[in-house]
Amino acid sequence: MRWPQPPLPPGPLPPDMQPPIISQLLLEWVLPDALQEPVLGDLQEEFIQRQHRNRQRACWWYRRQALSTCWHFLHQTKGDWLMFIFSMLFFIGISVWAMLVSAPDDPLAFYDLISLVLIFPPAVLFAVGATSRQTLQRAIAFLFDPRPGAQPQDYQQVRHFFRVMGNSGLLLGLFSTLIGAIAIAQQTNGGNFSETFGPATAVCLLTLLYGAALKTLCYVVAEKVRFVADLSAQPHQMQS
Amino acid sequence: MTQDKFIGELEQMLLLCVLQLKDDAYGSQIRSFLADKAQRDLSIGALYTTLERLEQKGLLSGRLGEATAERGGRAKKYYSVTGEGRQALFRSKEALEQLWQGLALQLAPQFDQGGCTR
Repeated sequence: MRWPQPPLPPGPLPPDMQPPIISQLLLEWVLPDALQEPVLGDLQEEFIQRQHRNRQRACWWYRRQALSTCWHFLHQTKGDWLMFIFSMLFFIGISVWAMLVSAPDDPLAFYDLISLVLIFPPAVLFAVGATSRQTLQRAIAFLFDPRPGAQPQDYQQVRHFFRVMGNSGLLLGLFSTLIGAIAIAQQTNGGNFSETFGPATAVCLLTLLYGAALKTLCYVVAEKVRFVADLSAQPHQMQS
Repeated sequence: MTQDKFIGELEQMLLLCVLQLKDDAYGSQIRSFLADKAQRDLSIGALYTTLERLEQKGLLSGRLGEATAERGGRAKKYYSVTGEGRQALFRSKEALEQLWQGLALQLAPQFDQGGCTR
């Protein structure tokens, strides 16, 4: 059904006539490159017709269309990314499950804020320090859209970033564990051994656990970067 | 091979829409034409998934057209039915006609008592 509509103002559309921006961004992220122009154009064309009747309904219509379109194309364009994210979440989920099973009475037994602060921020800072802020941006962009097609040196830098972050995490874990072990050794005596040694050692080992977890995740991401880089290099190799 | 290219009901409908719309067959028009004539309200995603599949099968060909202001400066993608597409449509029509031969469909209220008679 086509409805009569008043002429559009010249130039770019005013903001109050634009479709919902988040839905547009989602579509741009999910749709294959070849279909972005026709699909987004068709949606906008119909959206403008609908919003002359009722803007709110037109926005809901656009959002529904965007979700439905993403559902149809997600597995096609983002299947590899979904699998990658699923593997990460699976690892995290299994680890959390193992922790909960190990200490059913105390769900927060494996949580220690100080250990987290000792591992994650320094590891990220070391990685940025060893590479650059642009590499950090590329690394984050890669996590959201690990498609082939970038320059080989970009992949090399992103892979280097994750390798530095993973190795730093593990080394920081070992370093922090040593600090904890020294502190335990200094402060433990015959009087308080049975009360303090166990809990203190557990907290001390948590930093090593967090470091090892970060290293594991970064190893998988670095290998993913290598895989995508190899995929990107294949057409060039075939041409040469 | 053309003989191997079977088409489903939706594919058949879309090929017919493209034929009916002639030079004006692009996504939005195909969608509204299908809704008007066949009361089938497809989402844009479902429409383009099927159009892409038909293009990959070689039954449709697409070309980018002009960009307009109401499309936010984005180009339309016009579709046309290829020779193979026309053959597939014709074969599908013939097969359906063969299957329908000698049958008369009874609709409600006798629908639940066996719809077809000879």
